[in-house]
Amino acid sequence: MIKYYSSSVVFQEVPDEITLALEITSCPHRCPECHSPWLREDIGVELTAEECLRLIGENPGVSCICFMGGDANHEGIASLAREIKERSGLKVAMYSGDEKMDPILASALDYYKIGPYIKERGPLDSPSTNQVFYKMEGGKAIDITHRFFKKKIGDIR
Amino acid sequence: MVPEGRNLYNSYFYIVEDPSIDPVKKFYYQGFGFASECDGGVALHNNLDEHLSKQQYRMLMDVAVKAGCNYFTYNIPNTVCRECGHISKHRLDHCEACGSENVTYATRIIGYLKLIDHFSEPRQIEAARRAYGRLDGNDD
Repeated sequence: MIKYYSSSVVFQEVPDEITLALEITSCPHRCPECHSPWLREDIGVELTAEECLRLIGENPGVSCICFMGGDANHEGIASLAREIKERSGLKVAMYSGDEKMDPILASALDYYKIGPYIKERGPLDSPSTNQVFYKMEGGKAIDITHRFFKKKIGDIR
Repeated sequence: MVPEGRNLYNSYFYIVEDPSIDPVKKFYYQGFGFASECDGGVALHNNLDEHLSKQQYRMLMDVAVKAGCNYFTYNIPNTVCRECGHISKHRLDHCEACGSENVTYATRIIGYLKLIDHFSEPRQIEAARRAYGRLDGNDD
């Protein structure tokens, strides 16, 4: 069972989209200095396709759904992604903490972020980051991680 | 009338200091449902902490149409360096040109960019309480 802890409308997680981000719980990763360790717990509300569509209905104007996590159940996330896309027409994204892409997800998602949080390498908007953000297009994964660096231009620290 | 807990009147149709109201919802609060009952002063001032992409602004236009919000603007604070005078279009905690932390901010008021520390004293108190739409969804 997939559960989510919170939902919020965000603009920076997925470039060029208005995104409804859902924090997925039961995270199997144990990244040191994780910024939301409570998401490791088995807590929250069950996330079905119906619940996703209800949330989309509550937030008219969003163009994308983003699962923040979900690595404990890739098959479940992939089938949710397919159903949401078919029934809402929205794009679907996922923030995974895995080192590599999972083909099960790659074929179901429009956007796919991979890589665990490593403090020394920094988050996705740090040019030294280990994380990669892909836009999935026509069966290809296009690395668009550089889009996250843009706002840091001129940051001399 | 100035409501309790607020030191100044403003024309927002939502609680401006509430960080949980996202930039999309604001179009609906300031949209046809309520604004159609008003004869003026209905502009939505969508305060954001960072600029959006062209595509995102385009999508928000569609939201505005759907919500019936016909008068809106975005406010993203500019950072002004007190040391070297450099002005950045972004909200930063230091100057991007000389690195100084002695910075102040400019934002739009009645159509013009103005330094927040040049606002009237009550308006400065109000400005400090404004919640800028955190684009990463975090309230902290």
